[in-house]
Amino acid sequence: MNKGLVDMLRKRLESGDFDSLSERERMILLLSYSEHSSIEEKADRLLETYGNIKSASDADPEFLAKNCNVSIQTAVLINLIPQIDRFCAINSKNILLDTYSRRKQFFASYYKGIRREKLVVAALNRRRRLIAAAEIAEGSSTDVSFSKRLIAEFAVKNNSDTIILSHVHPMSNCTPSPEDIRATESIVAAMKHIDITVLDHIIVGDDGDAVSLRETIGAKLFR
Amino acid sequence: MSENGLHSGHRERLRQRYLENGTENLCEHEFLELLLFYALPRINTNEISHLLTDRFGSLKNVLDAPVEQLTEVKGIGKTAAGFLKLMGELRKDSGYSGKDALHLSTYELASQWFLDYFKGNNSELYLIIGTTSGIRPQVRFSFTPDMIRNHQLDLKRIALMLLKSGSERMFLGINHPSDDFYPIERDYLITRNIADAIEPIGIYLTDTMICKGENIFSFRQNGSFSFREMR
Repeated sequence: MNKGLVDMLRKRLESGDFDSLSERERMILLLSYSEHSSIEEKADRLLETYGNIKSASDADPEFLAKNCNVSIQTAVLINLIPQIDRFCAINSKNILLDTYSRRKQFFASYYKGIRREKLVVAALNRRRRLIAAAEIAEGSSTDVSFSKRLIAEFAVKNNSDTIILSHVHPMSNCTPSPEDIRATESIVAAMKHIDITVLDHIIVGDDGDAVSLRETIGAKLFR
Repeated sequence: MSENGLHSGHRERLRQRYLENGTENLCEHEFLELLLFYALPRINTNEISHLLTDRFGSLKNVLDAPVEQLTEVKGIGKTAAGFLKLMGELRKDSGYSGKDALHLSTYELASQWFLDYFKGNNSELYLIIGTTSGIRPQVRFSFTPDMIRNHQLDLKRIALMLLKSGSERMFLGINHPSDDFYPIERDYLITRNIADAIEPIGIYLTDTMICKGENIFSFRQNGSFSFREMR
Protein backbone atom coordinates (compact mmCIF):
# COMPACT_ATOMS: atom_id res chain seq x y z
CA MET A 1 0.00 0.00 0.00
CA ASN A 2 1.07 3.58 -0.58
CA LYS A 3 2.20 4.22 2.96
CA GLY A 4 3.21 7.82 2.39
CA LEU A 5 -0.23 8.78 1.10
CA VAL A 6 -2.08 6.88 3.83
CA ASP A 7 0.11 8.39 6.57
CA MET A 8 -0.50 11.87 5.20
CA LEU A 9 -4.27 11.33 5.02
CA ARG A 10 -4.37 9.89 8.54
CA LYS A 11 -2.48 12.91 9.86
CA ARG A 12 -5.02 15.24 8.26
CA LEU A 13 -7.86 13.20 9.77
CA GLU A 14 -6.30 13.15 13.25
CA SER A 15 -5.81 16.89 13.19
CA GLY A 16 -9.54 17.36 12.51
CA ASP A 17 -9.25 18.19 8.84
CA PHE A 18 -11.93 15.79 7.59
CA ASP A 19 -14.06 18.29 5.70
CA SER A 20 -11.34 19.17 3.19
CA LEU A 21 -10.76 15.52 2.22
CA SER A 22 -12.11 14.54 -1.21
CA GLU A 23 -14.40 11.54 -1.62
CA ARG A 24 -11.46 9.61 -3.11
CA GLU A 25 -9.22 10.48 -0.15
CA ARG A 26 -11.96 9.42 2.26
CA MET A 27 -12.37 6.10 0.44
CA ILE A 28 -8.59 5.49 0.51
CA LEU A 29 -8.54 6.23 4.24
CA LEU A 30 -11.42 3.85 4.85
CA LEU A 31 -9.78 1.04 2.87
CA SER A 32 -6.45 1.60 4.61
CA TYR A 33 -7.89 0.03 7.77
CA SER A 34 -8.89 -3.15 6.01
CA GLU A 35 -7.01 -3.73 2.75
CA HIS A 36 -3.30 -4.40 2.49
CA SER A 37 -2.52 -3.87 -1.18
CA SER A 38 -3.54 -1.76 -4.21
CA ILE A 39 -5.63 0.53 -2.03
CA GLU A 40 -5.78 3.34 -4.57
CA GLU A 41 -6.90 1.04 -7.40
CA LYS A 42 -9.58 -0.49 -5.19
CA ALA A 43 -10.80 2.93 -4.06
CA ASP A 44 -11.05 4.07 -7.68
CA ARG A 45 -12.92 0.92 -8.69
CA LEU A 46 -15.41 1.37 -5.84
CA LEU A 47 -16.00 5.02 -6.72
CA GLU A 48 -16.34 4.27 -10.41
CA THR A 49 -18.95 1.62 -9.63
CA TYR A 50 -20.96 3.34 -6.91
CA GLY A 51 -20.11 7.02 -7.27
CA ASN A 52 -19.60 7.69 -3.57
CA ILE A 53 -19.18 6.02 -0.17
CA LYS A 54 -22.86 6.45 0.70
CA SER A 55 -24.09 4.42 -2.29
CA ALA A 56 -21.36 1.82 -1.79
CA SER A 57 -22.55 1.38 1.78
CA ASP A 58 -26.05 0.58 0.47
CA ALA A 59 -24.78 -2.21 -1.78
CA ASP A 60 -24.92 -5.92 -1.12
CA PRO A 61 -21.58 -6.58 0.67
CA GLU A 62 -21.00 -9.93 -0.97
CA PHE A 63 -21.50 -8.53 -4.45
CA LEU A 64 -19.41 -5.44 -3.68
CA ALA A 65 -16.53 -7.64 -2.48
CA LYS A 66 -16.56 -9.74 -5.64
CA ASN A 67 -17.17 -6.95 -8.10
CA CYS A 68 -14.67 -4.44 -6.72
CA ASN A 69 -12.01 -6.95 -5.75
CA VAL A 70 -11.99 -6.20 -2.04
CA SER A 71 -12.22 -8.60 0.91
CA ILE A 72 -15.55 -9.41 2.53
CA GLN A 73 -14.19 -7.74 5.70
CA THR A 74 -13.83 -4.50 3.76
CA ALA A 75 -17.32 -4.89 2.30
CA VAL A 76 -18.72 -5.32 5.82
CA LEU A 77 -16.84 -2.22 7.02
CA ILE A 78 -18.40 -0.11 4.25
CA ASN A 79 -21.82 -1.64 4.94
CA LEU A 80 -21.59 -0.81 8.67
CA ILE A 81 -21.47 2.98 8.12
CA PRO A 82 -25.22 3.67 7.79
CA GLN A 83 -25.92 1.39 10.75
CA ILE A 84 -23.90 3.58 13.12
CA ASP A 85 -26.78 6.02 13.44
CA ARG A 86 -29.14 3.46 14.88
CA PHE A 87 -26.73 2.69 17.67
CA CYS A 88 -26.03 6.34 18.31
CA ALA A 89 -29.67 6.88 19.25
CA ILE A 90 -29.48 4.09 21.79
CA ASN A 91 -28.23 4.51 25.33
CA SER A 92 -27.49 8.18 25.05
CA LYS A 93 -26.73 8.33 28.75
CA ASN A 94 -27.77 11.45 30.60
CA ILE A 95 -30.24 12.55 27.97
CA LEU A 96 -33.06 14.50 29.59
CA LEU A 97 -36.46 12.79 29.30
CA ASP A 98 -38.55 15.25 31.25
CA THR A 99 -41.11 16.36 28.65
CA TYR A 100 -43.55 14.42 26.49
CA SER A 101 -41.88 15.58 23.29
CA ARG A 102 -38.37 14.59 24.45
CA ARG A 103 -39.58 11.13 25.40
CA LYS A 104 -41.44 10.62 22.12
CA GLN A 105 -38.44 11.76 20.11
CA PHE A 106 -36.06 9.51 22.03
CA PHE A 107 -38.11 6.35 21.58
CA ALA A 108 -39.03 7.12 17.96
CA SER A 109 -35.34 7.12 17.05
CA TYR A 110 -34.69 4.12 19.30
CA TYR A 111 -37.09 1.98 17.29
CA LYS A 112 -35.93 3.16 13.88
CA GLY A 113 -35.67 0.13 11.62
CA ILE A 114 -37.13 -2.28 14.18
CA ARG A 115 -40.08 -4.30 12.99
CA ARG A 116 -40.84 -6.82 15.75
CA GLU A 117 -42.91 -5.88 18.72
CA LYS A 118 -40.51 -5.07 21.53
CA LEU A 119 -40.78 -3.78 25.06
CA VAL A 120 -38.04 -1.29 25.88
CA VAL A 121 -37.65 0.26 29.32
CA ALA A 122 -35.70 3.40 30.19
CA ALA A 123 -34.36 3.80 33.72
CA LEU A 124 -34.04 7.42 34.89
CA ASN A 125 -32.37 9.18 37.77
CA ARG A 126 -34.11 11.67 40.09
CA ARG A 127 -33.47 14.50 37.65
CA ARG A 128 -35.19 12.53 34.89
CA ARG A 129 -32.05 11.89 32.97
CA LEU A 130 -31.48 8.54 31.33
CA ILE A 131 -29.32 6.02 33.18
CA ALA A 132 -29.88 3.18 30.73
CA ALA A 133 -32.40 1.84 28.25
CA ALA A 134 -32.77 -1.83 27.36
CA GLU A 135 -34.93 -4.24 25.53
CA ILE A 136 -36.81 -6.23 28.15
CA ALA A 137 -38.97 -8.50 26.06
CA GLU A 138 -39.87 -9.30 22.51
CA GLY A 139 -43.31 -10.30 21.27
CA SER A 140 -46.80 -9.28 22.21
CA SER A 141 -47.12 -6.70 24.95
CA THR A 142 -50.15 -8.46 26.36
CA ASP A 143 -47.89 -11.06 27.94
CA VAL A 144 -46.65 -8.86 30.74
CA SER A 145 -46.47 -11.25 33.68
CA PHE A 146 -43.04 -12.46 32.70
CA SER A 147 -41.88 -8.96 31.78
CA LYS A 148 -42.75 -7.42 35.16
CA ARG A 149 -40.00 -9.29 36.91
CA LEU A 150 -37.48 -8.31 34.24
CA ILE A 151 -38.55 -4.65 34.36
CA ALA A 152 -38.14 -4.58 38.14
CA GLU A 153 -34.79 -6.32 37.89
CA PHE A 154 -33.58 -3.84 35.28
CA ALA A 155 -34.60 -0.81 37.37
CA VAL A 156 -33.02 -2.18 40.55
CA LYS A 157 -29.80 -3.15 38.82
CA ASN A 158 -29.47 0.40 37.50
CA ASN A 159 -30.26 1.97 40.90
CA SER A 160 -33.25 3.69 39.40
CA ASP A 161 -36.63 4.37 40.98
CA THR A 162 -38.24 6.01 37.94
CA ILE A 163 -38.84 4.23 34.66
CA ILE A 164 -40.50 4.85 31.31
CA LEU A 165 -42.07 1.97 29.39
CA SER A 166 -42.22 1.87 25.63
CA HIS A 167 -43.13 -0.44 22.84
CA VAL A 168 -43.51 -0.36 19.10
CA HIS A 169 -46.52 -1.20 16.92
CA PRO A 170 -44.62 -2.47 13.90
CA MET A 171 -47.67 -3.03 11.74
CA SER A 172 -49.99 -0.19 12.71
CA ASN A 173 -50.04 3.37 13.93
CA CYS A 174 -49.31 4.46 17.48
CA THR A 175 -52.91 4.57 18.76
CA PRO A 176 -52.95 2.76 22.14
CA SER A 177 -55.02 -0.42 22.29
CA PRO A 178 -57.13 -1.48 25.32
CA GLU A 179 -54.47 -4.15 26.00
CA ASP A 180 -51.77 -1.49 26.10
CA ILE A 181 -53.70 0.36 28.77
CA ARG A 182 -54.40 -2.79 30.81
CA ALA A 183 -50.73 -3.83 30.61
CA THR A 184 -49.67 -0.37 31.78
CA GLU A 185 -52.03 -0.53 34.77
CA SER A 186 -50.72 -3.92 35.71
CA ILE A 187 -47.05 -2.89 35.50
CA VAL A 188 -47.70 0.36 37.43
CA ALA A 189 -49.39 -1.63 40.20
CA ALA A 190 -46.59 -4.18 40.39
CA MET A 191 -43.83 -1.56 40.48
CA LYS A 192 -45.57 0.28 43.33
CA HIS A 193 -44.75 -2.65 45.63
CA ILE A 194 -41.06 -1.95 45.27
CA ASP A 195 -41.37 1.86 45.15
CA ILE A 196 -40.60 2.23 41.48
CA THR A 197 -42.51 5.00 39.71
CA VAL A 198 -43.66 4.40 36.15
CA LEU A 199 -43.51 7.87 34.69
CA ASP A 200 -44.90 7.26 31.22
CA HIS A 201 -45.55 4.72 28.48
CA ILE A 202 -44.54 5.71 24.93
CA ILE A 203 -45.97 3.87 21.92
CA VAL A 204 -44.27 4.22 18.54
CA GLY A 205 -46.17 3.40 15.34
CA ASP A 206 -44.81 2.07 12.09
CA ASP A 207 -44.84 5.55 10.59
CA GLY A 208 -42.42 6.74 13.27
CA ASP A 209 -44.99 8.81 15.13
CA ALA A 210 -45.20 8.35 18.88
CA VAL A 211 -47.77 8.91 21.63
CA SER A 212 -47.35 9.35 25.37
CA LEU A 213 -50.03 7.55 27.37
CA ARG A 214 -49.58 10.03 30.20
CA GLU A 215 -50.29 12.88 27.81
CA THR A 216 -53.24 11.30 26.00
CA ILE A 217 -54.89 9.13 28.69
CA GLY A 218 -53.87 11.13 31.74
CA ALA A 219 -51.71 10.96 34.84
CA LYS A 220 -54.21 8.84 36.77
CA LEU A 221 -53.18 5.77 34.77
CA PHE A 222 -49.79 6.04 36.45
CA ARG A 223 -50.95 6.52 40.05
CA MET B 1 -5.35 -22.67 19.85
CA SER B 2 -3.27 -19.53 19.99
CA GLU B 3 -4.84 -16.40 21.40
CA ASN B 4 -4.77 -14.95 17.96
CA GLY B 5 -6.78 -17.82 16.55
CA LEU B 6 -9.25 -17.49 19.37
CA HIS B 7 -9.84 -13.83 18.56
CA SER B 8 -10.10 -14.36 14.82
CA GLY B 9 -12.78 -17.03 15.37
CA HIS B 10 -14.76 -14.58 17.49
CA ARG B 11 -14.33 -11.89 14.85
CA GLU B 12 -15.53 -14.10 12.03
CA ARG B 13 -18.56 -15.26 14.00
CA LEU B 14 -19.62 -11.72 14.85
CA ARG B 15 -19.14 -10.59 11.24
CA GLN B 16 -21.12 -13.59 10.00
CA ARG B 17 -23.95 -12.77 12.41
CA TYR B 18 -24.02 -9.27 10.99
CA LEU B 19 -24.04 -10.49 7.39
CA GLU B 20 -26.92 -12.86 8.07
CA ASN B 21 -29.12 -10.79 10.37
CA GLY B 22 -27.91 -7.19 10.22
CA THR B 23 -27.80 -5.18 13.41
CA GLU B 24 -31.12 -6.46 14.72
CA ASN B 25 -29.63 -8.79 17.33
CA LEU B 26 -26.44 -6.91 18.13
CA CYS B 27 -26.05 -4.86 21.27
CA GLU B 28 -24.15 -1.59 21.39
CA HIS B 29 -20.81 -2.95 22.59
CA GLU B 30 -20.86 -5.77 20.01
CA PHE B 31 -21.44 -3.21 17.28
CA LEU B 32 -18.54 -1.11 18.57
CA GLU B 33 -16.46 -4.29 18.60
CA LEU B 34 -17.32 -4.92 14.94
CA LEU B 35 -15.88 -1.47 14.21
CA LEU B 36 -12.85 -1.91 16.45
CA PHE B 37 -11.80 -5.09 14.62
CA TYR B 38 -10.52 -2.82 11.86
CA ALA B 39 -8.58 -0.50 14.11
CA LEU B 40 -7.14 -3.11 16.47
CA PRO B 41 -6.07 -6.14 14.46
CA ARG B 42 -4.70 -8.32 17.24
CA ILE B 43 -6.25 -7.27 20.51
CA ASN B 44 -9.15 -8.35 22.68
CA THR B 45 -11.67 -5.82 21.43
CA ASN B 46 -14.36 -6.85 23.88
CA GLU B 47 -12.49 -5.34 26.81
CA ILE B 48 -11.63 -2.13 24.95
CA SER B 49 -15.20 -1.77 23.70
CA HIS B 50 -16.39 -1.77 27.33
CA LEU B 51 -13.62 0.61 28.43
CA LEU B 52 -14.66 3.07 25.71
CA THR B 53 -18.39 3.03 26.44
CA ASP B 54 -17.73 3.23 30.20
CA ARG B 55 -15.50 6.25 29.75
CA PHE B 56 -17.65 8.15 27.22
CA GLY B 57 -21.11 6.90 28.08
CA SER B 58 -22.35 5.92 24.61
CA LEU B 59 -21.27 5.00 21.12
CA LYS B 60 -22.25 8.47 19.93
CA ASN B 61 -19.97 10.10 22.51
CA VAL B 62 -17.14 7.73 21.58
CA LEU B 63 -17.42 8.73 17.92
CA ASP B 64 -17.71 12.43 18.78
CA ALA B 65 -14.74 12.43 21.19
CA PRO B 66 -11.51 14.22 20.20
CA VAL B 67 -8.52 12.07 19.27
CA GLU B 68 -6.55 13.19 22.36
CA GLN B 69 -9.28 11.95 24.70
CA LEU B 70 -9.68 8.64 22.88
CA THR B 71 -5.96 7.86 23.17
CA GLU B 72 -6.22 8.23 26.95
CA VAL B 73 -8.13 4.94 26.96
CA LYS B 74 -5.86 1.93 27.50
CA GLY B 75 -5.34 0.07 24.23
CA ILE B 76 -6.37 2.94 21.94
CA GLY B 77 -3.49 4.40 19.96
CA LYS B 78 -3.46 7.17 17.40
CA THR B 79 -4.44 4.84 14.54
CA ALA B 80 -7.47 3.48 16.36
CA ALA B 81 -8.52 6.95 17.50
CA GLY B 82 -8.23 8.22 13.93
CA PHE B 83 -10.34 5.33 12.70
CA LEU B 84 -13.11 6.10 15.22
CA LYS B 85 -12.99 9.75 14.14
CA LEU B 86 -13.40 8.68 10.49
CA MET B 87 -16.42 6.53 11.36
CA GLY B 88 -17.97 9.43 13.28
CA GLU B 89 -17.51 11.75 10.29
CA LEU B 90 -18.75 9.26 7.67
CA ARG B 91 -21.85 8.60 9.77
CA LYS B 92 -22.96 12.22 9.35
CA ASP B 93 -22.86 11.75 5.59
CA SER B 94 -24.67 8.44 5.40
CA GLY B 95 -28.08 9.99 4.83
CA TYR B 96 -29.93 7.99 7.44
CA SER B 97 -29.92 10.69 10.09
CA GLY B 98 -32.40 13.51 9.93
CA LYS B 99 -33.67 12.99 6.44
CA ASP B 100 -34.50 9.41 7.24
CA ALA B 101 -37.30 10.59 9.48
CA LEU B 102 -38.98 11.90 6.32
CA HIS B 103 -41.89 9.97 4.92
CA LEU B 104 -41.94 9.47 1.19
CA SER B 105 -45.68 10.00 1.29
CA THR B 106 -46.07 12.44 -1.59
CA TYR B 107 -44.61 12.60 -5.07
CA GLU B 108 -42.73 15.79 -4.10
CA LEU B 109 -41.13 14.24 -1.00
CA ALA B 110 -40.14 11.05 -2.80
CA SER B 111 -38.66 12.83 -5.81
CA GLN B 112 -36.72 15.24 -3.57
CA TRP B 113 -35.40 12.29 -1.58
CA PHE B 114 -34.00 10.62 -4.70
CA LEU B 115 -32.59 13.86 -6.14
CA ASP B 116 -30.75 14.46 -2.86
CA TYR B 117 -29.53 10.90 -2.73
CA PHE B 118 -28.02 10.93 -6.22
CA LYS B 119 -26.75 14.52 -6.04
CA GLY B 120 -23.16 14.69 -7.30
CA ASN B 121 -23.04 10.97 -8.03
CA ASN B 122 -21.58 10.27 -11.49
CA SER B 123 -22.15 6.53 -11.60
CA GLU B 124 -25.04 4.81 -13.27
CA LEU B 125 -26.81 3.27 -10.33
CA TYR B 126 -30.08 1.75 -9.17
CA LEU B 127 -31.39 2.17 -5.63
CA ILE B 128 -34.22 0.25 -4.02
CA ILE B 129 -35.91 1.69 -0.94
CA GLY B 130 -38.24 -0.51 1.03
CA THR B 131 -40.77 1.37 3.15
CA THR B 132 -43.47 0.53 5.66
CA SER B 133 -47.11 1.05 4.75
CA GLY B 134 -46.63 4.47 6.40
CA ILE B 135 -43.97 5.10 3.68
CA ARG B 136 -41.13 5.35 6.15
CA PRO B 137 -37.81 4.12 4.71
CA GLN B 138 -36.73 0.84 6.28
CA VAL B 139 -34.01 -0.48 4.03
CA ARG B 140 -31.89 0.62 1.08
CA PHE B 141 -30.16 -1.48 -1.54
CA SER B 142 -28.01 -0.14 -4.38
CA PHE B 143 -26.99 -2.09 -7.47
CA THR B 144 -25.22 -1.44 -10.74
CA PRO B 145 -26.20 -1.90 -14.41
CA ASP B 146 -23.39 -4.49 -14.56
CA MET B 147 -25.30 -6.61 -12.11
CA ILE B 148 -28.28 -6.63 -14.48
CA ARG B 149 -26.19 -7.23 -17.59
CA ASN B 150 -24.37 -10.16 -16.00
CA HIS B 151 -27.58 -11.64 -14.58
CA GLN B 152 -26.22 -11.21 -11.05
CA LEU B 153 -29.26 -9.44 -9.70
CA ASP B 154 -31.02 -11.97 -7.52
CA LEU B 155 -34.68 -10.93 -7.46
CA LYS B 156 -35.56 -13.55 -4.86
CA ARG B 157 -32.91 -12.12 -2.58
CA ILE B 158 -34.35 -8.63 -3.02
CA ALA B 159 -37.83 -9.93 -2.20
CA LEU B 160 -36.49 -11.65 0.94
CA MET B 161 -34.62 -8.54 2.02
CA LEU B 162 -37.79 -6.46 1.67
CA LEU B 163 -39.82 -9.03 3.59
CA LYS B 164 -37.21 -9.27 6.34
CA SER B 165 -37.16 -5.51 6.81
CA GLY B 166 -40.93 -5.42 7.16
CA SER B 167 -41.35 -3.32 4.00
CA GLU B 168 -44.76 -3.17 2.37
CA ARG B 169 -43.89 -0.80 -0.44
CA MET B 170 -40.91 -0.20 -2.61
CA PHE B 171 -39.43 2.63 -4.67
CA LEU B 172 -36.83 2.21 -7.38
CA GLY B 173 -34.50 5.16 -8.03
CA ILE B 174 -32.28 5.26 -11.10
CA ASN B 175 -29.33 7.59 -11.59
CA HIS B 176 -28.71 8.59 -15.21
CA PRO B 177 -25.62 10.80 -15.04
CA SER B 178 -24.78 10.55 -18.75
CA ASP B 179 -28.06 9.82 -20.59
CA ASP B 180 -31.08 12.08 -20.37
CA PHE B 181 -33.74 11.35 -17.80
CA TYR B 182 -36.04 9.34 -20.05
CA PRO B 183 -36.17 5.62 -19.30
CA ILE B 184 -34.17 3.25 -21.44
CA GLU B 185 -35.19 -0.30 -22.31
CA ARG B 186 -33.29 -1.72 -19.33
CA ASP B 187 -35.14 0.56 -16.88
CA TYR B 188 -38.54 -0.70 -18.08
CA LEU B 189 -37.38 -4.27 -17.95
CA ILE B 190 -35.91 -4.12 -14.45
CA THR B 191 -38.97 -2.26 -13.15
CA ARG B 192 -41.24 -4.92 -14.54
CA ASN B 193 -39.09 -7.82 -13.32
CA ILE B 194 -38.91 -6.42 -9.80
CA ALA B 195 -42.67 -5.78 -9.74
CA ASP B 196 -43.28 -9.35 -10.91
CA ALA B 197 -41.07 -10.70 -8.12
CA ILE B 198 -42.42 -8.68 -5.21
CA GLU B 199 -46.07 -7.91 -5.91
CA PRO B 200 -47.30 -11.54 -5.63
CA ILE B 201 -45.96 -11.59 -2.05
CA GLY B 202 -47.70 -8.38 -1.11
CA ILE B 203 -45.01 -5.74 -1.58
CA TYR B 204 -46.15 -2.93 -3.85
CA LEU B 205 -43.85 -1.07 -6.23
CA THR B 206 -44.98 2.51 -5.68
CA ASP B 207 -42.82 4.28 -8.25
CA THR B 208 -39.70 4.18 -10.36
CA MET B 209 -37.94 7.53 -10.48
CA ILE B 210 -35.14 8.42 -12.86
CA CYS B 211 -32.82 11.23 -11.81
CA LYS B 212 -30.49 13.31 -13.89
CA GLY B 213 -29.08 16.32 -12.08
CA GLU B 214 -32.10 18.37 -11.01
CA ASN B 215 -34.55 16.56 -13.29
CA ILE B 216 -36.72 13.58 -12.54
CA PHE B 217 -38.91 11.21 -14.54
CA SER B 218 -41.55 9.34 -12.56
CA PHE B 219 -43.05 6.16 -14.00
CA ARG B 220 -46.22 6.73 -12.03
CA GLN B 221 -46.67 10.33 -13.15
CA ASN B 222 -46.06 9.35 -16.78
CA GLY B 223 -48.30 6.32 -16.87
CA SER B 224 -45.40 3.96 -17.45
CA PHE B 225 -46.86 1.22 -15.28
CA SER B 226 -49.18 0.05 -18.06
CA PHE B 227 -47.68 -3.45 -17.91
CA ARG B 228 -49.78 -4.00 -14.81
CA GLU B 229 -52.97 -3.83 -16.83
CA MET B 230 -51.67 -6.42 -19.26
CA ARG B 231 -51.11 -9.01 -16.58
